[in-house]
Amino acid sequence: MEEIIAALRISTPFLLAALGELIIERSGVLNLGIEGVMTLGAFSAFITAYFTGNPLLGFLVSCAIGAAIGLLTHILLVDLGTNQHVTGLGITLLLTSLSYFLYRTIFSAPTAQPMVRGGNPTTITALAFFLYAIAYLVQRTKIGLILKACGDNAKALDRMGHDPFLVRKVALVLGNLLIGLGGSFLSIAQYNSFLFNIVGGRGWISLALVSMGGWNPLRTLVFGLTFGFLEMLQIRAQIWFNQLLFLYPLFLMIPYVATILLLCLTHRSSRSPRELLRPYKRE
Amino acid sequence: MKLKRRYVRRPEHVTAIYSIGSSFLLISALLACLGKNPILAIYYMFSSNFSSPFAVSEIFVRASPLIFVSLGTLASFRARFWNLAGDAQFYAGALLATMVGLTPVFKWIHPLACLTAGGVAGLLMGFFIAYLKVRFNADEVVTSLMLNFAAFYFLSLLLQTVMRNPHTNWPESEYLLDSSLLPNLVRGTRFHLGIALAFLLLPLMDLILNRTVFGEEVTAIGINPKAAEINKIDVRGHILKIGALGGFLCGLGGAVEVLGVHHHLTATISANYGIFGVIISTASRLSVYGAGALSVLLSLVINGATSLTRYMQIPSFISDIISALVLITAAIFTALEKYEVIVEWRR
Repeated sequence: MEEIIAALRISTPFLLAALGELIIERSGVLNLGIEGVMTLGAFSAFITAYFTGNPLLGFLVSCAIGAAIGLLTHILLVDLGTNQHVTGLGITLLLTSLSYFLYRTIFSAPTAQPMVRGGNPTTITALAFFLYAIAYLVQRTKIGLILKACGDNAKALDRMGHDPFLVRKVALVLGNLLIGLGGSFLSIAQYNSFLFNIVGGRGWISLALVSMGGWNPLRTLVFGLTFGFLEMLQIRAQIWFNQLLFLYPLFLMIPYVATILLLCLTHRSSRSPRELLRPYKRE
Repeated sequence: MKLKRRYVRRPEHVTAIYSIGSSFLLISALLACLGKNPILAIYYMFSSNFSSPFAVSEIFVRASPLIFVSLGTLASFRARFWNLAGDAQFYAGALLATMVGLTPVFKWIHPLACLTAGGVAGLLMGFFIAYLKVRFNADEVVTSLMLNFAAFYFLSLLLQTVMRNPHTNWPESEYLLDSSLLPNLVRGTRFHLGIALAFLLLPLMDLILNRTVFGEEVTAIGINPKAAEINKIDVRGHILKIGALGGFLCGLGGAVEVLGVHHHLTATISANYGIFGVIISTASRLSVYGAGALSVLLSLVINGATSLTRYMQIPSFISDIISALVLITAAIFTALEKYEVIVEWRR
């Protein structure tokens, strides 16, 4: 039982970030800024909780920052139509280095690792599951279909009188909000402090989970939980057998290799949104 | 403010100059907000590179891997083959070069064998990504990003188990045999033969990409793959070839870095060079000599950032922020290349 709770807790940041990315990709935009938004979310939540002593405020600030970055991403990727992968990598590099830069500027030579009073992880984990349930239910409703149509054929959606620019704006703001929240979970509910490389590739794993799950919330949830469970097992294995430390890199390879394999195997029945990487322009 | 369509594209080097200029303006604004003098900071950043002959040589030591990786990335980007696996190919090259460098079989051809092994390792990886795209229609953006991480963790796994240095017990390989190292060209510095090789590659790649039929056809695929196919260009074959060429260059970069600078393999052998390859090739608008110039400029920024920490207590992450800003602003100015920005003042 204790193990299951640990596994659920470990998978929460992936689940939140993957759901955010899923919404964004469904609207037809490939957002590669996940790792950066998570780092900035972790940093802003930590700073807020550190100076106000209120972890709830930290969660809210990271959501607000995530939404603001979503708006900025919308201006760059959708309004200006810049290269999605290049800009996304730029956003990741910018936000991670900016977070570390500001952290070093604020705590230039700390004698001890600055810590915060942590928030309640169970609430956020429950929230993640609740959001997946909503995402599953929304899929077949009008809103879900508009989102899917925006990712598959934005021109047709435009002809039908729905604004693809607006759909993508909502998706990017909402998605980045969830990604920021996923990052804040790491700093104020898991480690209770902000560490160098705190996100440690979790953003890229979330990207992999979305592709592995075939852009379907239920499958993404299953893969995310499986991965959280595996990570819990390997942490336990390290505690039980000291010599197994080398297992860690082997284990971390799994989602990446699995994604490459699945992308190759599912090419015929590809469920990927067709408008990914293609900025929409009205003639 | 509004946008008007231009019929003549803005020249490409103007985009690079705009993006570098606006990045430095933005970073100055950030520093001013934090109460640091931005003019002094930028002055220190550049002047510290010329404080001693060793510092000057370090510019080129830093620029050489950047040139290799950015040329490899640029070659793929010419065909709109978005291979982002610069890091993975760099690791593969470094790994194979190390393996050959630890094998005492070869005599005087040892460095050459190491370089070939490294290049071929990168080539196979680049070809693999291109093959997945051509054969399975797997999106290369996602596969190459995933491959970066898979390669990094695979390397860490090897360094923690079979390749671990038995003398220090750190997760790093043993030092390479002396016969395999690239000769040092300037006494008292780390200026090695590989740096000369990097700069010689610039005219060679200019020749291949701009002055051969193959290079022209690759550019044609990048501009319009359908038109290229109609004109009987072998699109799939060319993507495989350009993927292999790009991978070869990145792998060679990894091999040179091990043989010339570090002399042993660690998991941090690529200091984020993959993303720097993307930054340089995007900001140079895929021009070969532009990439060379930008590699040197970013080396000044990266090396200068370490002394900024010493003089002004500015964290060295500032070099990553500047590079990221160059990438984002370059993407913005590229998107605006086709437009004229008209600012109207209403009374």
